Amino acid sequence: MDYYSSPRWTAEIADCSMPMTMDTYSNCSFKCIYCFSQFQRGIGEGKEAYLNNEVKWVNPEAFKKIWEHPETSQFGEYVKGKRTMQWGGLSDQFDNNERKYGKTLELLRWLRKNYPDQQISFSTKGTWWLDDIRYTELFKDNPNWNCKFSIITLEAEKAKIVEAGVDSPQKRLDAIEKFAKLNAGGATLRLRPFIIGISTPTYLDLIREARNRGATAMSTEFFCVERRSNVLKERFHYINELCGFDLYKFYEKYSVQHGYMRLNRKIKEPFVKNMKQVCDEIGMRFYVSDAHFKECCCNGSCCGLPPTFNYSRGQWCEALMIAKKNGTVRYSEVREDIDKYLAGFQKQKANGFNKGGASVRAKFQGMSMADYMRWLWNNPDNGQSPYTLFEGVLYPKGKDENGDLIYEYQENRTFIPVSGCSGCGHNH
Amino acid sequence: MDDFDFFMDEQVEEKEEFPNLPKELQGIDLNPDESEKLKNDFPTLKQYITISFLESQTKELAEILGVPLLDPKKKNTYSFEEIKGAKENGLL
Repeated sequence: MDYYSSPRWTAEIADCSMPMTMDTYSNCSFKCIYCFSQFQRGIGEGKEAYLNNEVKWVNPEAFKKIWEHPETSQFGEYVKGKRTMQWGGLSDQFDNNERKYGKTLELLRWLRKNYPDQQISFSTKGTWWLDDIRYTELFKDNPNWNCKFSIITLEAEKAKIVEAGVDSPQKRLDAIEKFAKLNAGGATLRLRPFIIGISTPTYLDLIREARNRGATAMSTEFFCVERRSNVLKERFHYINELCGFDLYKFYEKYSVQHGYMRLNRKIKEPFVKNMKQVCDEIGMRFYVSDAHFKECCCNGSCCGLPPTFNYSRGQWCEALMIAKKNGTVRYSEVREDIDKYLAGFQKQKANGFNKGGASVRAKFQGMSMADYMRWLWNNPDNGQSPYTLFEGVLYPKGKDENGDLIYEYQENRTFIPVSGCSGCGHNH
Repeated sequence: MDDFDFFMDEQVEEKEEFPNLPKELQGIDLNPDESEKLKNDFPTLKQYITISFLESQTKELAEILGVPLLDPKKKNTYSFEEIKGAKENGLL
């Protein structure tokens, strides 16, 4: 049997609070037009299998071994430390493949029985599983399992076109309500990707409605356009029609990068301010996963986990929160988790991590993932450094006694000031 | 004819490049601020060297560097540890 390889270390390890990310299946039945995983899976060696909807799943025995024999796995220290795992990074574990094969259920039953304190944050657009007692009984009164529900618009007609394989936004709001009633680890509205022209004009009503249904947090991130994705190019006209203008051209004109196109901060700012204001009004925790305005997050997990969760603190979102509170941040304030969980394996051998070309391999040869994180911290010109990633909100102002950079929070680059508060106006 | 506005078409075209933009974006300059450009005092060190050579010099250069093989058709990349290791292990 040829199995799918997961979990893996996320490519966004530098600023991710759940770097260990799990997918049950190699493919996803939902086929959303904007899905970033089709950019990754729709190119290279696995392209044909992916586009032909071939499905593989993880090896259950290999999965279990991570907990039973942690010394044999790169993830061993992470799970021994009971750090939160992401489930649903590139595929939806509650999609129609799960209905057919039930592999997620098998793994969740095993985890619930044997390692009930393993924290998980799921990400889904699926709704059917909340009417299936085999699943809901695992979540009921389980504070360690959080779930994010992705909804990007309240308009069912728009959703039907960009998310053809998914239930309507209204059904997904119902799912939030059902999940909230299970008294599990919290329901989060995942308003990602925020697509101008599709998420507008209903996004604020969507947030209010999710709160009414029991969501306690929301997380957003603006749509990025991968020019190299032929799958996206072929389908982009649907998005343009729904927007009423050429969104592709809009990205070409107003993006800060031109391969993987990301809109500039000025365009995002009015939407972020509106969302934050509504969340403050209705008592909902607000998080921005986008590198722009990530400083708006209530705490250092941009997926929306509350600070009571045991997510990884060894990453730059946490650093950003520390700097927002104190004005500056040092590497020593985030390195503990990095050294505990990322020092035991080489960056170039990290599961699922992009190894880069020959020059990159030579440059980072012998470096552990923890060494690599420290290198990123100390090389602010790199795109994954705290300085470049957050576009200057953290500025390297000098070095500490260990030779590591000290970053200073730059109030002139954002509307969120330095304060003792998390920035959201609420005590969490 | 004297009253014809030669700029009208151009103005209309510019105005309608992105019709139906949401109200949040109407009436504001959407171009990034110049101040968004990033500069800092801690540039990444290059930490590599480039050596150019002719195909006929391939063997000689490999001997000088102490590496077992150079392929003139490709970019050859060695880390410091590899060259040091090759010398220490007598791979010359």
